[in-house]
Amino acid sequence: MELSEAIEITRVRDAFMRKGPRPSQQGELCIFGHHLIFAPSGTETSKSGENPSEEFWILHRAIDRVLCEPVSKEYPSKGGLLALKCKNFLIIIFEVANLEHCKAAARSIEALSNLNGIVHDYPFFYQVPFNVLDDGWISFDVEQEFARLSLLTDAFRISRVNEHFSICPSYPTTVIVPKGIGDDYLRISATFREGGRFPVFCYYHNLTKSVIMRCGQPLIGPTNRRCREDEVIINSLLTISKGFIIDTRSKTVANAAKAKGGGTEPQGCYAQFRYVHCATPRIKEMHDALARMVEACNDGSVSTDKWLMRLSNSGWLQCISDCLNSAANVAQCVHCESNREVPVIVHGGEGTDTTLITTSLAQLILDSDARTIRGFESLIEREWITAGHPFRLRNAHGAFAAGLNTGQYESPVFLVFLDCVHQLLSQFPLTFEFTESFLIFLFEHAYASEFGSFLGNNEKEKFKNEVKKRTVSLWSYIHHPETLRQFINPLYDPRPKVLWPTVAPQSILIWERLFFRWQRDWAEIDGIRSSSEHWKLRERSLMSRAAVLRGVTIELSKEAANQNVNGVIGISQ
Amino acid sequence: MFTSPFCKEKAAGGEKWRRGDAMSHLLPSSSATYTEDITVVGSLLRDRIAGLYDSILGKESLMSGCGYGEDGRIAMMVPFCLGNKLVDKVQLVDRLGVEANLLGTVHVTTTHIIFRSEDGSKELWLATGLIASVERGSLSAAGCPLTIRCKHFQTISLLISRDKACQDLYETLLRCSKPINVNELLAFENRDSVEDARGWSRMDWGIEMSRQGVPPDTWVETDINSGFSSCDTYPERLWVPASASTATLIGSCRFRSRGRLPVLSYFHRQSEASLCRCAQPLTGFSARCVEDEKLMELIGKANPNSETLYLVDTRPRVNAMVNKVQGKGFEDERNYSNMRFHFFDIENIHVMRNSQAKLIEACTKTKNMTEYLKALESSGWLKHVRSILECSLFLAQSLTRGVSCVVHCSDGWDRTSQVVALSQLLLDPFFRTIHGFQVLIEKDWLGFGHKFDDRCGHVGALNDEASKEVSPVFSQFLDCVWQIMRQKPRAFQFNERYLIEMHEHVYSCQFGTFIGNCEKDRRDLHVSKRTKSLWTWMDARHDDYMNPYYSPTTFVALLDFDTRASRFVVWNMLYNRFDEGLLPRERVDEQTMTSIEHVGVLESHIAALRMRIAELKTQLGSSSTSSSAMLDSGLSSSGGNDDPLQRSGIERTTSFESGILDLNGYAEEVLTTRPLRWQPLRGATHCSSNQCRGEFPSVIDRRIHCHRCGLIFCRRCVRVTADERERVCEGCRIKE
Repeated sequence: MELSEAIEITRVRDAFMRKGPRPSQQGELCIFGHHLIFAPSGTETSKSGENPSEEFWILHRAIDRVLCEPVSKEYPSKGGLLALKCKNFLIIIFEVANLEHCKAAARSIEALSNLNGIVHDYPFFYQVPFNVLDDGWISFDVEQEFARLSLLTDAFRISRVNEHFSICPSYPTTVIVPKGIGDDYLRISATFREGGRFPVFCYYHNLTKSVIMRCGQPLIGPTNRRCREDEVIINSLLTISKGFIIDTRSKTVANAAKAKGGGTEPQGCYAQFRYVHCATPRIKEMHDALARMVEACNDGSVSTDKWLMRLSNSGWLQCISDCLNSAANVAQCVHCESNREVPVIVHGGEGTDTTLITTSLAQLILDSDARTIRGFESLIEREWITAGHPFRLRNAHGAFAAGLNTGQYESPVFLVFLDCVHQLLSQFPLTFEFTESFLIFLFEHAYASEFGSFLGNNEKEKFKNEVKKRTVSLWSYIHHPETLRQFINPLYDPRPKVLWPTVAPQSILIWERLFFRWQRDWAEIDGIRSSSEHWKLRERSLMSRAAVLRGVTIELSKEAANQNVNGVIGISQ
Repeated sequence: MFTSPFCKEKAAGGEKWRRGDAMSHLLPSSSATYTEDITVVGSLLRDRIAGLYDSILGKESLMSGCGYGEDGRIAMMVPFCLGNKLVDKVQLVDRLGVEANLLGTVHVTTTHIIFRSEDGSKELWLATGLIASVERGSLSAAGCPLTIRCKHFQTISLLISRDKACQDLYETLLRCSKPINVNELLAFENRDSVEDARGWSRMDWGIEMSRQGVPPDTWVETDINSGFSSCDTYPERLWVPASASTATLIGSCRFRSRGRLPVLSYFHRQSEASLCRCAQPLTGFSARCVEDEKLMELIGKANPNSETLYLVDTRPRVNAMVNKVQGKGFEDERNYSNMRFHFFDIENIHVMRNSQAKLIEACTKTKNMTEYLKALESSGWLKHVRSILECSLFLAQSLTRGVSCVVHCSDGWDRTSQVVALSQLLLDPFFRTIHGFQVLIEKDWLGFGHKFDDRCGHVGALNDEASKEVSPVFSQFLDCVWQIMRQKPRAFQFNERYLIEMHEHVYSCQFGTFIGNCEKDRRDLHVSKRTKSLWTWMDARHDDYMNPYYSPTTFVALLDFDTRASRFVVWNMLYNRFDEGLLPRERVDEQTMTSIEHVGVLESHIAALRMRIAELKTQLGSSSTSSSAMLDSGLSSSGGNDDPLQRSGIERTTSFESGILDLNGYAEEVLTTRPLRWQPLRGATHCSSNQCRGEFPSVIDRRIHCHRCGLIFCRRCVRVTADERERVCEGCRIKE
């Protein structure tokens, strides 16, 4: 199908933007293959100082839900209302003079924003307006990662057992596995794990020499299958301490999975591991929670009691606190269990969602490198993109969508992760090299982007569609110095230690900048931010200037002392 | 607590008292030889006394083996000291269960409860005035639990090994937390004779009214309440419409509950509208009062722009109706020609008391998110805060539009004080400064008779009657201020710490400022002579309260304050102040404040370096010439030609040279070795002084950097230098 087939109308004149990211404006809507463009008439002058005649562009992919209705039911001639609810929670409402045009536009946008597959996606057509200095596709590869790891320990090796994605479709071709284990064992283990996701290396904590591994659930099933090869792999991690298997499902959910062929590792076969359930919400719960949360936040007229009730009923904050809690538990197993060399295995059901939230958050808590921009990118690349989080499925729709276009696989799992990071960031605002706006930027790009990083569900799909050849990586854009500057937190002061976040209910805050982004004026908050930055930078520059002047002073005073001695000698002579 | 009392001082030979400022001037600084013995004895005694007071008032930490071990001395000093003063083998329980229990001793004095751990690692001081309740649990194997809940939301859980000791401590605490006579309050024990006049004259009605720009031809001061003759809960000086006769005023006074007639509180200069406050009228079902109606009319007429007057009753309509039965109630709109009536649903003190209790419950006991939000909802605290702010915003907007307002609730000293003060805070940037906020409190809270004694339960809340009078009205006001600050972080000169410390000292009773129910009470108790003012204490800490983001010229009125429900959040820093584990570990505002201070220090340091470099350069550049000059001069002097200029030149060079030699030492020592990087705020839990090592009691306590060594100290281990240009620690001062 060609994109142009979906476009019923390319131009809608007399559109009035009633609600949106800028003050109300008269203008014209243009529908292109990938973008919706609102071009203001340009005669009015806006008071806010923004250029009023500037066009407003939005990717069709970023639109979550399209609503169209007549302004008045009785008089269709009065025109129509076109409401666009976006995946970043922005709501735009246009008044269109001609109802038929309005309906046609709505159908076109609806069709374009719900295209299946990724071949028509914008990243394949996007021409980068900058020179790629630091190619994001090759910035973070397994070989480099392994090279770094091998400096710390030699307990692991690189395996190409998944060449051509033959064993596990959601893993990359190269993975890091325990050293003593041959590829044949991995192949057999893959048959015993959900989605072929055999145990792979995830994080090595050098302070305690503990290791985090992740995998899919074991396919025990109602018949209590065993897999000796899998047991060998898991048990090979043990050295001096007992290990942990962290299940991100609750006990009941895990037991229920058994009837469907999944289950939990039986204690008897993995005797040296303690089994711990860290219940995190299921993906469907996250999806519903987000929808309710956004709805509650968008209702400005609600009473205080209602507000708190809706907040509580949405369950979003509960999701966040559960996820942080399970990550903190993993971190505690790795760092605090007075023993050393503790192997921690993390899995949920498929090992592509809550497992990744848990392992990636645990790394942020444990590893100071992950709190830098580069480290955080690497974390997302390793733990989300190549680890096979199905971005295309999960992010096909956001909080607003309903109806036929939506399915059971949509879920804001990645956003839950980002919100958890935001909680860490607000508890430790000086410990992260990036700012809140970086997280929001990633959130938007995970849903709709001109870059290829979040395209497809896994490496296999990326490979099939030649994503890495034909699109630009998001990291290439971020690494561009001009972009990077926007995201650097000037107050960043590296803290080498492990962070211990609080997960108490009163310390989990609503991510205001995300949920109220389009409703509030952020000038105050930004002003504060920039004055903090100003003082910090000034402090830094004065410190270095003082250091330079000190050097000069020392030099000069030495010289002076010498000369003095000479001078005194001269006088005595 | 008086200051954060975690400073220990141990001299080499044993303990040494640090002199109180009060006593130091009595001591001869350099005594003649022959009186030495006498002086030493005298000064020792004085030192002891001063030190003892210091320690009682929390200025000085416990000394090992000092008074508390030797009970007699304390008993002698403090006549009404209670029976059991020392309970040992007490475990301090970590409420969050993160850390192990600490074993230590509890000391009880009339003024403080002190827990001191055996290893000396922790000292916890608590002014008795801050104790809200004491609960005893039943004896278990671990010991007998005792929970002390404080008015500043600290909860101290103790485990006491012996049941008898627990019971004793329990009874002692109950008694000393509830003094029966107001004269027993801690403030009257504070005899430190610091010059205090400034704090006690923070507010002058005449000056404040002229600052507001009250036009003398429409509003005048009346002497109707001189000697508190008409209304004992009002200030003596009142401002009323110039056209109102004394008869009108007296008539209105009789018609208002407790004689609280409508008087001016704030004049809005820009719109010439005025904000007046009063108590409810004694209307009952049908009573009227011509004088009161006349006074209202005159208040309306005092506004040249609009004669219409908004009469704001902050109570819900139902409550106002109920009051009619008791012969009170609200004005009948038909009898007041120029009036529009508005009800606002702000609940009464009893509702607020229960609401806050539930809020604290939610903040301290809930385990998961759903439970917490449910508890928060059922407490209704945010709802109440919102309704108060909505009413205040209405008043502020009306005044800006040029409509005068008269506000009352029942007696006009609780809800009225809240909304009147908040609306002024929204309107007038002066009240958003550190000084102005104190004036606002002096005027609308202390002046117009908010019953601090009763509401805070300073004295004898032993019976049910008195405990029903207790209500967190002022705390709620501070909470509202914080909600405004949260939205307008650049509009306030002060920061969160200012509000939190003020909140603590409203309850701590260490200062006389918040003692008494009204001005008359304070006059009768002679608080200004017998106690210290909180404002003086706060003046000394001025820089702790500075908001680094304050932008004094950007904001005038804050009328775009957003009152949507999602805007109101729980003030964790106040309600969970002592649960450090629950609060953010790093704070951007504190960091910025430190950066600003550091920038100042660095700038003067750089200036000093520049000067030094310039000196060195001239020296290096001129030294060759100067030495040749010397040679020249030597030659010329030998030639017998005494040139005064040249001689002075020689003198100058020599002195210059010797100066350089001194400066060389100075440069090595100070200019080039002082650490440029300051100790980071993060993780600074203890004072860096080796003598002190005191733990900061909560995250809110200011961490102060020494300008020389860059380490973090507590307030008592740093001093401002004599030239007031630097703040240095003890160690750096000695080095100098």
